[in-house]
Amino acid sequence: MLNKSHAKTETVQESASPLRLNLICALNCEAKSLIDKLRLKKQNQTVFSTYVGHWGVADQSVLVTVLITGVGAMSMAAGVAWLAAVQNEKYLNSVWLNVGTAGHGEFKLGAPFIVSMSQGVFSSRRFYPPQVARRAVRLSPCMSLNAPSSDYPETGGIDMEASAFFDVACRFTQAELVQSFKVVSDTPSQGIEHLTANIIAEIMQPHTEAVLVFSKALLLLAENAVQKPNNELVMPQIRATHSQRQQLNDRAKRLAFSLPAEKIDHLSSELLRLSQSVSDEKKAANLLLNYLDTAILNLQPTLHDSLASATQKHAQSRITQHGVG
Amino acid sequence: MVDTIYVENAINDHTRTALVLDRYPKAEVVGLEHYGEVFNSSKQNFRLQKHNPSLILAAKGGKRVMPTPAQYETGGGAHYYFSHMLNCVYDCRYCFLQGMLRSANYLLFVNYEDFMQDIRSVAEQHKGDDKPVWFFSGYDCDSLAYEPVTGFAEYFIHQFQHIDNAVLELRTKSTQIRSLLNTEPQDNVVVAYSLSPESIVSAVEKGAPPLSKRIEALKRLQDHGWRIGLRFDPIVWHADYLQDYEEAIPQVFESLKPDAIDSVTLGGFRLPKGFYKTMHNLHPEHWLFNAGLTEEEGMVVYRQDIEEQALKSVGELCERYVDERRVFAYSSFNAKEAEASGGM
Repeated sequence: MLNKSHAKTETVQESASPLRLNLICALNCEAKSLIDKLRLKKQNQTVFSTYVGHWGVADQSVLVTVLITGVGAMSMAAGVAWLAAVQNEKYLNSVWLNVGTAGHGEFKLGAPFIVSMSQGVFSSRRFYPPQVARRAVRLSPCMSLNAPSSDYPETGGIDMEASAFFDVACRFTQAELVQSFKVVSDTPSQGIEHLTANIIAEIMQPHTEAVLVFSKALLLLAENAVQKPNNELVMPQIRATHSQRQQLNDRAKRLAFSLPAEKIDHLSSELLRLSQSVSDEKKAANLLLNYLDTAILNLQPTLHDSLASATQKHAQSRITQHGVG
Repeated sequence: MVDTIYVENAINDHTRTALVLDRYPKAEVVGLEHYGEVFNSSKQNFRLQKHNPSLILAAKGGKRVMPTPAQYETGGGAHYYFSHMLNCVYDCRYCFLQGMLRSANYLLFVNYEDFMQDIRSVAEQHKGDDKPVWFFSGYDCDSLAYEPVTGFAEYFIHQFQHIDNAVLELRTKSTQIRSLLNTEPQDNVVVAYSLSPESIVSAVEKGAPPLSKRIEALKRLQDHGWRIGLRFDPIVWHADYLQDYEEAIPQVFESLKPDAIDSVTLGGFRLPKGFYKTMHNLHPEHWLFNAGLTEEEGMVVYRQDIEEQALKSVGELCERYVDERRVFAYSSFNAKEAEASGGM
């Protein structure tokens, strides 16, 4: 289902990839199976431990970063904020997935869940991550405590980072793309005393594929999160007032999203030609505005014909499907 | 199919909550204190949530029945609206809900009894009026599209039987009319359909029934004895819109008994500026938000020449079939109090 990961590596800051997946773990042992599976490379000389690489998802190369923050809310908050800062771009469609272990009062040891509600002990604020991506594991609420505890809630989970993760990560992307995937590491009958780094790695390992499947669902959503212009409409250098410039930019933006790339190129050339043809510099802005307004007005489609042709195509495809055509 | 349902703790034991949850045995239920924690939280993306909306069950507090803007007249007396649900199963590109709400999740208020109490109280205030007081449903959701789950029409129609000075208007695009066909028609209920030519349905009314199905539903309702209304609102302007409306309008009226149509309303595409900005950011590539629009007193509307021509020409097409006194056109340029295009 998922393409093989590529060995190609990249630094945390640089990316030619339009999609980013940030997997955030408190401990290295929680991330180990993911790092191995995706063949990520450790980055040197960074404040937090990071592992970076590319992952092929549905013909796209996704830049994956695994960040190890350390245990607790402060470490998590600092780590997420640091990564967002070094990525240093407005990635409004980055996926941020917290992956780790949690105690649970109801679920069995080794059971995975996605956090449906997260609340920390420092704040009364509750986070309900929007559940849009398709999931194959159960939901559960999770309380984030400030110290390990063997006091389990009757029906929910406990951890030390999820609340801080949501609080900070939601500032950098769409809420639908910020999620937490937990695996139960301790329960009322099997407390935290048995946990070592090796045991945690063993608990996480069987769920590597499930984490990646969920990541993939989030990445597919992320593709639709932000619309990109088809091409850049190049505005010629002309004399214009601030207000005229704003109007020209507004029109340019509309057309850059609506027209196919080649038509935008053509429009850019036309604007240049028009601006050069005006003898009075002061008139150039208005001339270009009128020209762009006409172009915008022409965006209205002829639905009648397009519906007729769509109906015809549909009818033809039905005939073909039935083996007549 | 809804796979996540949020339920306010206070309505866990409400009968209607249990009925709705029974419809979705595979959905996971998440408890919450107040629906606003999910519905109004920041950084939500309406466009993304439309891929897989969750359902929120809650109780509506505060004001449940609101007066409509003055221009929204359909021949009745005082006009009010109420919303038992926010958001819609359809995905119409022009719908103002995308600009008004942060979330695309379906928010269903299960405390119908409280809504009815408020409706009765408002009706009581208008007891001496010449004309009945009109209550619209379907501004913030489709009145019938979710009927098998909500049982909304079934409950409210029955309740309106006992208010003799009130009319209930159900605005819809849906063909979920079974509960209406199983009920004796009532004089004080109007089922009003939002209609658009097939080309517009196909281009901008994603998920909504085709025009032919809506006409079929209207015909069945009218034959059964229900009062019906027609809403060409918004009229969606495009290069060959007139040709489309010239085909659609005879198709509608010739399938029905025009004399028995309660009212016909028309309006152009119009939005408060803030809603428009949000919607344009969600769909910057869509022609609907890019052609023929202008700003008028805080509203984004079709240019005056375009809107006037659209209302006039579509209005004239309707007046071939019904008396002009039953055709109401909402102009963005005459109205002192302009409002957003109807959700339905």
